[in-house]
Amino acid sequence: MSAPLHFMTVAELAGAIAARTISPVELTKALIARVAALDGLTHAFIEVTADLALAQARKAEGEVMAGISRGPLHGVPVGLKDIIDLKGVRTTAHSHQLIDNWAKDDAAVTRKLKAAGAVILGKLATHEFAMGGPSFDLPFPPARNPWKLAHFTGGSSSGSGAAVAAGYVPAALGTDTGGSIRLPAAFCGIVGMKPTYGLVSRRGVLPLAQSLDHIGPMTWTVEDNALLMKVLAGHDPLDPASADRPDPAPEALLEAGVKGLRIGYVPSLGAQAEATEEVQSAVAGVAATLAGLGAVVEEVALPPLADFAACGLMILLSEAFAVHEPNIQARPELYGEILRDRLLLAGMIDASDYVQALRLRAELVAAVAQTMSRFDIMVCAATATPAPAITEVPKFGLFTKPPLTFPFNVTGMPALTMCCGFSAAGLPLSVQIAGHAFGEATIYRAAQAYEAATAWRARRPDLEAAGPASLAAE
Amino acid sequence: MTDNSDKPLPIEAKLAEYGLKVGPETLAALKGAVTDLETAARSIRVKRSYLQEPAHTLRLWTK
Repeated sequence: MSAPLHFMTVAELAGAIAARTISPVELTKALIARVAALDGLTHAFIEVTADLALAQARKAEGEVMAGISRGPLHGVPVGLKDIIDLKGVRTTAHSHQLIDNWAKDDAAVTRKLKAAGAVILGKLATHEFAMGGPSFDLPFPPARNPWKLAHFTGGSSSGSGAAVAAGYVPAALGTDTGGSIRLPAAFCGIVGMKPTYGLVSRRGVLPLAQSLDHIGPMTWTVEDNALLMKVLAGHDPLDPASADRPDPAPEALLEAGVKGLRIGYVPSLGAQAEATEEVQSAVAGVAATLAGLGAVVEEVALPPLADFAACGLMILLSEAFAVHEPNIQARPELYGEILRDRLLLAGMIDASDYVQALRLRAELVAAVAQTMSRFDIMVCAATATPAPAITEVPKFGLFTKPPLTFPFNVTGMPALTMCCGFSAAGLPLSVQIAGHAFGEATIYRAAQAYEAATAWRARRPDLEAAGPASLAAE
Repeated sequence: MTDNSDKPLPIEAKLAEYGLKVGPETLAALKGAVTDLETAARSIRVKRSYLQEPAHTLRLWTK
């Protein structure tokens, strides 16, 4: 039996649209209706851009009927985290600070999506300025996890994770400075890729910490993620960090299998974060599955997680404070409590410690590169636990409980998280796969092999059965 | 080593310097977080040579 329309993947929709068996206009209308019916539970969307989306869908449909093809995103709805500019629509960063911030132009990634024929369905919830959340004192409520509404989506691309898992859109864009694509992908049971630093342009996206910021796709399947990355990747001379590289062909190795692939399995990373037995067992299962498919798996260690955390957080907080210093002084009352207090902490960092963190970063990059020289990819836990209750996320604690995603922001290497099982409570568990700089295709290769060998993609959250009562019941 | 490894962070003075005002509950939580921050900062304060300067750290495509 085929999936209902709202749970079809980008690849499935692309085939059906090209074959003219699904109308982009009807698809867009169906997803708008689904959001209207169910997003009161999940709060994934800040704004549904219905008129724009329907206009784009009509255009795509006309082109398809005229025999014009713009590729696999043609006529496919996607969502944008609300720090990414969409011309003529507000970019609020989920904050009172920017409640009337109307985008004058498209972000580079938005422009690429439009050129590929994608339909922009709307702007998605985020932690305030991609750093403060989950918060209940902002102009919009925080997104909730479609698997269990009382639970955290992860952040900061919270709405992107929720929207894809809930079947509001088959794909969304997120941003990742310390794990903000990979953590919500992990907690929401989807696929999220933080590409290599420099692969995807950040022009037209609000910065959090410029030397750590990345933009990437969040999707239900690995194949879809590669299809999005194919569209998003590319040099942008107007982003100083953008890499002038050949096409990385992220989709090229999807069906290559993992026979002979050299995999470094890093259980110590999860152990250092005191990952639960469920998480560690699930990640060990991924390593075993890949070995069973013919990969050569060897246990390996990386520098201590605490070093990555100290280094990365000093840089993140310092660079974020540089962005927000004028507003935190002039109008702190327009921030939510969590971001305001985190920015106050950021203001405590000495310049000398920021410099030391940059130096440590160079050492960590070199150390990881040396270890990686023996491997094609690394496999480790994505989070220490499944999604916690949304009310139990601490304001501080990043130094004592650093995210397992942070090492790959520090090094700039690409890293993906994907579902690798479910907890006893029915929440997704996730694995992280990291690769060499610009080695996205190899990560997708392994991820696709694992996805094809397991049945996790057959399970979806059942929002229709949920309701306001489910919040009280949990 | 730099000479500030044992230097306490004067939280209230820094807040005042930045013109920031916080309530007593926030100040207590902030002091705890600053303690964690200071512990992390101590761990990265080591002597490094010119060879360890971070120039081009992120120019991964040139490596």
